Amino acid sequence: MIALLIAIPVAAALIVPFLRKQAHIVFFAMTLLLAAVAAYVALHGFAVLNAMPPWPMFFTLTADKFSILMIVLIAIVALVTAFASLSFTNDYTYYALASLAIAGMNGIMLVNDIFTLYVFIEVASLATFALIAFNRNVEGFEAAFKYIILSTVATTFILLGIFILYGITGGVSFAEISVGVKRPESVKPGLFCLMLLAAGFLVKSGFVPFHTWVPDAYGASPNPISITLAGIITKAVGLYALIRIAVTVIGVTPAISMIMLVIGIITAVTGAVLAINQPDGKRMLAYSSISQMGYIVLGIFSGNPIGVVGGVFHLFNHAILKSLLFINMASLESSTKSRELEKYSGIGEKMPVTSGTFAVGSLSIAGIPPLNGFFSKLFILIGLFAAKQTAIGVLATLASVLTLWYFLVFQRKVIFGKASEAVASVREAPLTYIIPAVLLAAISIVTGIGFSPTISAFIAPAADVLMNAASDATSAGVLP
Amino acid sequence: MTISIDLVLFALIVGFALITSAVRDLIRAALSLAVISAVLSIVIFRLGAPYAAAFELSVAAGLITVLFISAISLINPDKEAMKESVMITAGLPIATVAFGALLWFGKKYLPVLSFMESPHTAPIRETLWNLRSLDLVGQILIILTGVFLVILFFKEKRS
Repeated sequence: MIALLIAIPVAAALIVPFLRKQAHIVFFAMTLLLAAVAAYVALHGFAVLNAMPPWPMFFTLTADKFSILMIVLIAIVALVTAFASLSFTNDYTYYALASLAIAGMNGIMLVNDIFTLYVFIEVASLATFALIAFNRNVEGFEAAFKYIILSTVATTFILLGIFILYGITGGVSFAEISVGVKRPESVKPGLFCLMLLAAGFLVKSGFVPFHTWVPDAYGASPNPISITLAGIITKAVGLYALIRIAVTVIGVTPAISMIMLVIGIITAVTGAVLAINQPDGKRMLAYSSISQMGYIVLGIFSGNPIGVVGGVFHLFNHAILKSLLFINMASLESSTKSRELEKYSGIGEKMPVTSGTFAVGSLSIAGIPPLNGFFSKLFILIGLFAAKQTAIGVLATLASVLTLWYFLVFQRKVIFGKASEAVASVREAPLTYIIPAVLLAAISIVTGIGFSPTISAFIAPAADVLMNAASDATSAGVLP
Repeated sequence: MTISIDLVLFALIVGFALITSAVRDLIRAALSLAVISAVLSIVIFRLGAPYAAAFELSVAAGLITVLFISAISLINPDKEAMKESVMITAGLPIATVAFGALLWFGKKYLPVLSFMESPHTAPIRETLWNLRSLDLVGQILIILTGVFLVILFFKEKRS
């Protein structure tokens, strides 16, 4: 069953050139089917796919609770993207590339070998590069160029890390590496490899100081691609890979955790500061996205069980909320033909659903109760303070206040601002934007009010995977 | 026999290196470079490092070639070149599948393929199909992405 998570999007990519006029429908059907398979896999928990006897090939795909959570997120964001794409284009290359990006991301979640992980990261990255430049304007080409250059630098670090790991452990499967790096003679080279891999994955996920491609890429991408990029791609190709390798394969120790916490807090604060006073809506959301990625890392590397649960919950929330905010921005842009925040003044009356769902998304990401973003941030902060990381906890609180500030300023301008003549003739966004926005806002409210069952059913099992792996690494006691 | 095969491989590498340096057409240069990497991966395999050979084939002959052709597509507005690079890039997945099928089915009919075997390691087809098969799937997806990417960048701008 889990092989379908790769096979379905690949099949869609192969079909769309032959059904060019129905490409958007094929893509939409593919995301629906993918959501059904993801739901099935989620309900059946841990799964392993082994040999396919009639084939000459043999490969193993595995999914633990953490990767299943990511697979569900990919399916949700893909479905939202499909909705938004219905009113965007009917170009079959767009749908083929988007399908391949989804196949690449699902592949990343299912592999158990570091080199194959790299191959699927490249599938997703290459498709993303093309999609960023899809509009084929100067802005798009510049953003895609920045992305591919930095991505290639990241690839160099990742490959170097993989090859040295192969040299010192004699294998490339996660299991072989996990055992190999714990041998006393492999400790220091293993740590060096982790640094190389982390550098590569941090570039791919846009952490400070490797974040310069993020605002350009999010800003220049077609709107549905901004949703996917901010919602899931950077998390899948960068953050997930980093967490998978650092936490569950090589193992986290206090020294590594501290380095990641410093990177996380610098990213959280810098992103929040840069988001303030951004005149361009998509760039503001891009900087906000950078900031929230820092938050996720703060939770996951806090070394405290509550913090890890908060980090995983924030990963889930951020995928939902950033998809929601970017789809709202797509609505605003499609109605006003502008991305400048000043032009949206007083638009709340004209676009009540968009403004309402934007309020839910922005207040949630800023950490206002009882929305889901509040609980994940609360758990992260509790985790940090419980782990005696007081200074980082205080700075993280400050970053959250900054987030609230720039979103409130935006709310004041958009919803309560004086209506300008520019928005006099504006109407509500099309249903292809409204339906997913309402759906995502509902998820935000439901998982906020019902945070306890959400955490018990989905988040805690995924966080357990990370905590068990981390405790295994610590008990091995060989890494500094 | 072994020495002569190694010499042939060496000659192929040098020959295609010269072609890569000499040709004016960037796409042909990228493809010549890919051939060098493919031959180099056979050499590495014969030296007894099957994983390194598979990595060389994946990264250098596969991904890097797609990246080069994509970048060339991005900067080259020539319509004739477009047709050529679409055909070449579209041919890559077909060539990959054909190469795999040849390795799998052709061995007993084409004993000459044994030149790719190493005395130190498992047969190359076992390495590719049984140990690194998911990489092959990923490589085909990378090449497929490259095909759509080239088609996208060469399309005429819509109104």
